[in-house]
Amino acid sequence: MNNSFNRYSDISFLIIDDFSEFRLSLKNMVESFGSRHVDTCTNAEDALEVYAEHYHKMILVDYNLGEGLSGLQLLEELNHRNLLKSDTIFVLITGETAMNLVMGALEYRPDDYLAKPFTRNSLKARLDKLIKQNELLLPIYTSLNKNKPNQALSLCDALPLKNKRAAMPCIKIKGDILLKSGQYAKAANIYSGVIEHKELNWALMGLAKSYAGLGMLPEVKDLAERIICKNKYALAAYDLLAETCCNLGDYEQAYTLLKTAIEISPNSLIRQRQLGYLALRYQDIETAYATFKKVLLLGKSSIKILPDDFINALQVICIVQLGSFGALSRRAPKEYNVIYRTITKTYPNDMQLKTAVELHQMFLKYLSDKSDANLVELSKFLQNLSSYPDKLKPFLISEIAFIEKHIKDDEIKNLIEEVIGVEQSELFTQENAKKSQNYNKQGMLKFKQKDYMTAKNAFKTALLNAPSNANIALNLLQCLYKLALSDNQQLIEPSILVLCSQSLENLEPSDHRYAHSQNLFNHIKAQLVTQTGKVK
Amino acid sequence: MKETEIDFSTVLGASMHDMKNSLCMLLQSIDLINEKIDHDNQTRTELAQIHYEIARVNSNLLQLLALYKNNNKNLPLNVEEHYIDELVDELWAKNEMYIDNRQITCACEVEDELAWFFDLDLVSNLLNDILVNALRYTKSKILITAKIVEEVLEINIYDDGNGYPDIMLNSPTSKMNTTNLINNRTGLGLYFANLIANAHETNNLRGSIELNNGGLLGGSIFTLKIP
Repeated sequence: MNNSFNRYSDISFLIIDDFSEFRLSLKNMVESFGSRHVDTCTNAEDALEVYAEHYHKMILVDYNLGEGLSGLQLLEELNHRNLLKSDTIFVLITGETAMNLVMGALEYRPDDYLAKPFTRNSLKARLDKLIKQNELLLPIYTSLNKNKPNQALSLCDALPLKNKRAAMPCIKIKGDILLKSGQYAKAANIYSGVIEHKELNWALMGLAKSYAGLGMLPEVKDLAERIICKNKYALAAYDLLAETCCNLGDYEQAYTLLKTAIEISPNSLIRQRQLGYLALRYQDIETAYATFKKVLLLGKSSIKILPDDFINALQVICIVQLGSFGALSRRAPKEYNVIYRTITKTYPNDMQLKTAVELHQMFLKYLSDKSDANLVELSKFLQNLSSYPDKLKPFLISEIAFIEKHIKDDEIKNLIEEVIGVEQSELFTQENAKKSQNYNKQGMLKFKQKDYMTAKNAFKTALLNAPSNANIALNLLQCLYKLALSDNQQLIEPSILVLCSQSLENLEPSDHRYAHSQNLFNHIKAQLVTQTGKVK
Repeated sequence: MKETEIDFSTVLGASMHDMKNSLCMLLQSIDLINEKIDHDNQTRTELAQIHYEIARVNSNLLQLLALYKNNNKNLPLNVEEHYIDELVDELWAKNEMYIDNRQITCACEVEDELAWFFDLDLVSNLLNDILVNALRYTKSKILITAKIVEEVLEINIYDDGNGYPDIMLNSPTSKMNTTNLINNRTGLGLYFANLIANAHETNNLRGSIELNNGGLLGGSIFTLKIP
């Protein structure tokens, strides 16, 4: 008894619940266990600040926090901002009702779930267990906090030999490290080993991600379908499956999947954005309209929002306005002003965004009367763009393309083609999933043979035919990294790096590929700097 | 869906959430009172009784929800590897107040380092429901054993009470009939237990439950098998 008392005295707690009595009662409990440092918060937003200051050992958070972020979203944000220390124990408290959603979360998993109601004793039993496990794995967490993944990997092999109870957590951590460093074949091995023994959902998901990295798309599809069949709330599986369908060129299935996933959980900005793009592809304007509006709404409390989202919203409103959607067509244009204001407030210094908005306004003005004067003004504005000092950003190009699509005047159409130019038109390439897959395979083969130059060209063609395919972009990056290491760094055109970064922009930071791509970018940049340094 | 239509699951969910919060507060208040007040035997017994009844209401709520989900073909499992000694420790902890008060001797025989794959919340609720029932009917002892028999995890809960009545031993637990429900209060609990056991599946083998009398302590024996 004395022992466990001592154990708690050094453990700091952060308790988050919007329900004051519950918060207090929980605080009393952990204090009665012996903890001498307990902070409480009423919402996730405050919790982020308090945690960043103290890095508590244990976070106890209710799933339901009323308005604002949920307990699970707090975990996302902590990961997203790279705040969460790997040895912090994160416990999500749920009423039974939220359990489904929580269980569907294969991406960010809390260390444990605690179902309400619980007694002081059962809480203690659960926390004792978690702390014991945490102590067991502490050496691994320490290596991870010091950013030494290889040391962590060898500890993952060593620790279970001493204590059997470390085995399963070590396998999980190992798989995670391998995925995040792009060692997909090794990761696949780890996960297959688990599945052979028992078909656990996280292992199926890990295997599916490894296969996605290895370009084995039909296998990814099978696995993701199996996970959804076992748990229809497994949102990460929907996202992976939808992405895979897109990469295979089956946009229709992707659209259906995302619609189902959004019904289950409407609060993911990135998923809503993807749905919006697919809705536009299928000319499902009303869905696209509702979706992009939702993106902007979610963007209010998330750093995932992009300037592109605002431009998309403006365009969709314009389509609604031009179409025959009854009252909606009359109502929609009233939203322009709010969006304009938000853009100015959120991105006061983005000149290209300002230009895109001005262009949109000018286009609307022309549409209102189709007068020659307005047409002249519009073409003058477009003409000026061709002498724009910087490379045009995708959203600006998208706005120009939007006008080209919806204007009937031939002269303007020709003008636009000139403005966008040959170099930029790369970003315009038609999607061709099949062609892209073939080139990707060819690239992977050449990469294996260490013919990085040929591989690079194959990956580049593959990516141009599927600009939103993050896996191909990662392959290309990996290839560029190899080239950067060799003496061929002159082959790395900045435009390819831009292309890659655009394809990878939509990744959730929880996605293993996010960390991997960030690493590769940094390595390549560092390599290029030292190389040019040498030349000088 | 039209906005005027009331979605049953939403209402159920919202009221469940509310009830859970209330139960949580109740349980914690009682814990606190139990610690703070210097009470006589009678108060202690009353407190333990309140605690026990709340635990029953809670397990009923959980069962209702599981049944509802099952009706909607929607009982996803969160299967992970769990160590059985930790599971049993948690069961004791949940009922510590009642066990202390009634001075019931509790023991467990679990193989060293025994781990198995199952949904911890569901199985823990199932066993807790059976344990709560056993605590009520036992005279002085409870024994929990766990072992692997032919690739199947077998957990037994023994007591030294009068055993299950014949009508329960004879009726299949998978079929819940009205008489069963009216005549004994555990009918729903067993139906629920069977449901959860059944949801666990490995290599086309499904989990099951069994009721028997006699055994190590001479009372009732509840057996849960998970492949």
